Amino acid sequence: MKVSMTVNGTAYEHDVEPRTLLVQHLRENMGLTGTHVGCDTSSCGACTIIVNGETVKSCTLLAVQSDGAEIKTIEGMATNGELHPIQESFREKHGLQCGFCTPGMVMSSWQLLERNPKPSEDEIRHAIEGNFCRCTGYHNIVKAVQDAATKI
Amino acid sequence: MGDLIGKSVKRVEDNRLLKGEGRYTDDFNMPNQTFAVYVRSPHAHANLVSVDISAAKAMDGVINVFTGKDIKDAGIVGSICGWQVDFKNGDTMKEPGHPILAVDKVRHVGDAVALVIAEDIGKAKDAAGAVEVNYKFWTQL
Repeated sequence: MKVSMTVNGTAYEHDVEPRTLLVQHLRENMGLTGTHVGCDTSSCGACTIIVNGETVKSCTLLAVQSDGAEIKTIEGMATNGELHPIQESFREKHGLQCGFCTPGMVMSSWQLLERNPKPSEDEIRHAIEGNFCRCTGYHNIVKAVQDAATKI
Repeated sequence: MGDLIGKSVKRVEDNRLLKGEGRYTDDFNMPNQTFAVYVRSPHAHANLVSVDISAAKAMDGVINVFTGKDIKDAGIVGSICGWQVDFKNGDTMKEPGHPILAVDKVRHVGDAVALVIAEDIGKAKDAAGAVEVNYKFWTQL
């Protein structure tokens, strides 16, 4: 099936198998491997991206369901090589270790700060509850989001 | 080095990891790469009455399918404990078998029953779905 979408400002059109997941489509057909598959069961949030302005776990969507969508992935966060303030805060506050969950964490944080520019610690923890970090990094991730809130 | 002690040092790898430019093992392909998918038990405690891989093996793009019996017959032992600690009285640590694929019995939900190797992930998943397993359930422990 023909599927077209705009990802990080670039228009793509592909012929995909109907069963192709959006995350597979991004990773395998577009080569955007920054979006990770951690669990394949919509639990871990490593595949979180922005579809038409809203965070979505891209392993729960089929590529064909996203026909015509405007998508933003972790590769689209930095501008001309300069880190987005959220990315910068993750770096400064040591909000990552292995980095596998980081793209999803950054996207969920982005959505939170879009909706709530000055979140409380509880609100931050609630906003990232769909994203698992297995390096036990939540504490510094929360600090990173708090720091980013002061910059945006 | 002296001026690093006691300082918070920025990690050199963070920039690429934050931009989605990491290279994890699932992020790149190798020449002649094949794909593996496990058939896993949906039951916590059951005997394997039969594991029929013939249909899966005959499917397009499938390179091979293995059962626990195949692995056992090939003389491949299960995962071993890397740190055997003996008891104080000199007895060796009692280590149960940890077969790579279940033989005769599954002991938890997700216990691996068969392994499919295929040319691409879709074909491997299709073939995994074509493995016929008959279970005889036992009470969950």
